[in-house]
Amino acid sequence: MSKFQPYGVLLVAGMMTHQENYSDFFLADPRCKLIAVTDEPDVTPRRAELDRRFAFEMNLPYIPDLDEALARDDVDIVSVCAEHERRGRVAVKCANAGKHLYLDKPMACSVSDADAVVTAVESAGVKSQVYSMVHSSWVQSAKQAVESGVIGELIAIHCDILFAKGYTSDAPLGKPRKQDPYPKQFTFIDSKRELRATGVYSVGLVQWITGAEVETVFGATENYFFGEHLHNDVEDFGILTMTLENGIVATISAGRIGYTSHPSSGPMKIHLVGTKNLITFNAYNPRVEVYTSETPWTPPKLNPDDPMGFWNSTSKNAKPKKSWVTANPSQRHTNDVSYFIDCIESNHKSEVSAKEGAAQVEVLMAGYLSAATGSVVSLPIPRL
Amino acid sequence: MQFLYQTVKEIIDAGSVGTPVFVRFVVQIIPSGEHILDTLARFLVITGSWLASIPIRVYVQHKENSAQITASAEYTGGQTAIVSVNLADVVSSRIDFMMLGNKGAVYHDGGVMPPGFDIDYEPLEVPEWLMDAIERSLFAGKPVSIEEVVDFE
Repeated sequence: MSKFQPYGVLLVAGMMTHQENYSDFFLADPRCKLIAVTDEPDVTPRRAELDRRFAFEMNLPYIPDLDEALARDDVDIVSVCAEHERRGRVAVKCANAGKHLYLDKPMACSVSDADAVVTAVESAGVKSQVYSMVHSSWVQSAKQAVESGVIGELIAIHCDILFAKGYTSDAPLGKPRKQDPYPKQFTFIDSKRELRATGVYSVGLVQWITGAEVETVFGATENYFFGEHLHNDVEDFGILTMTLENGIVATISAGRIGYTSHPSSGPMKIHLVGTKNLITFNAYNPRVEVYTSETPWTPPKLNPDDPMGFWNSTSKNAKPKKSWVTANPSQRHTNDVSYFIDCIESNHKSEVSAKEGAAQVEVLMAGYLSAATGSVVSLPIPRL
Repeated sequence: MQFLYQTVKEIIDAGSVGTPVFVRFVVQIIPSGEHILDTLARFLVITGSWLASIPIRVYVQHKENSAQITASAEYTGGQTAIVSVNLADVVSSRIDFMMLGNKGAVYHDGGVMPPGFDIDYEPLEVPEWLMDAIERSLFAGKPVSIEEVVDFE
């Protein structure tokens, strides 16, 4: 299709979602054309206003009825960034309408919702992709290290991805967190369930790099850094220990650790342990480090609408940290969306399709169940 | 390890990173004849010392005859840790760690140590109950509560 006309892209949900990032990815690919912003007709007034503002800023029409938008013939792809609780339902509707799905991560808030998305995608025969880091050069290097055999046989993988954002407060410490085994609410203005929101990256990378199924999960969630998370009874930090098929051991740490806890965006490392060697891949390597007489970096002014710095739109005037400058080699798929368009054009399944996204959701939900019970959880888990 | 242990301890004692809440170790060590379980225990002792706490639960994963062992631990104050020890016939040992405090963080990239570097462990004793918990977790293939293995009274 792209040889004749660009793919029409419909954006579900707008401002203060990751649509702020994904719409830029689509805009950067000449094979795509943004059509409109839309959402379900019964969204909250706040969400509707944020969607309208986003449409206005993007110079796009706002269609307040998702069904009406999906009925358009000029829509080929839907970028779904509805809030977690609505995401599965919206994705199913879009797939049933015959549209390809580009999905925010994690792609659903329960394993049953995730299963429903996979079923809908497969039934409709559409392509799907969940946003991930698999096309980052440091992650590609890790995958190559496993495939080339340079580390020998992989026996363990450890992944840490944490975000250095938010103003740490004096949240009380001193006792382990009590975790709800089946959390259902995920959307708050001032906090996220960080095991889920940031842990999904590491879980996805472990699965993609190893190509192995997760068999067991042991997890812990904690409140270390932010009063906002504690107030909403959601964790700001979590760890998972997993066993994969073939006996591979995998661990991750995930969370939000505060603006001043890292010289850049936060620790991002993968350690591969093989029978021959251990190799560490750091998202910030290779890098140069710059120290000058300029005024040292300071965090952005606290924005009550987004105190954790989740969204680009609320951080427009924030100064970037400049002391670490990475020098990654250029690659074809630094834009996750461009890889997805390649998959559509070549009729290939994405390496991080809805099916892989559902596997991520299941591991994360198993992590909550484990954290609540203090026991190792075997997959599959109950479809709740 | 002494230099790292002491340096981090001084940073913690100075209060510049707040209260330590999480430690992640990924270490690669040239085999010295010490059993990998003992080496893991040493690192868990260091971790507990930094966190100023004792574990309430330990989960250890190690395949027999494998050169890697990984433990996750939860501590009385809600702190957590993941420690991975790997033995390899390499030129030099490597110690990669991250210690998060509730007001800051300490990082040590696991670059190759200088030739002749020795893992000179600080004189922290490994308590019997910790070794017991490690062995029980390995045997059972599940997390072990420290209360199951020790009576602190």
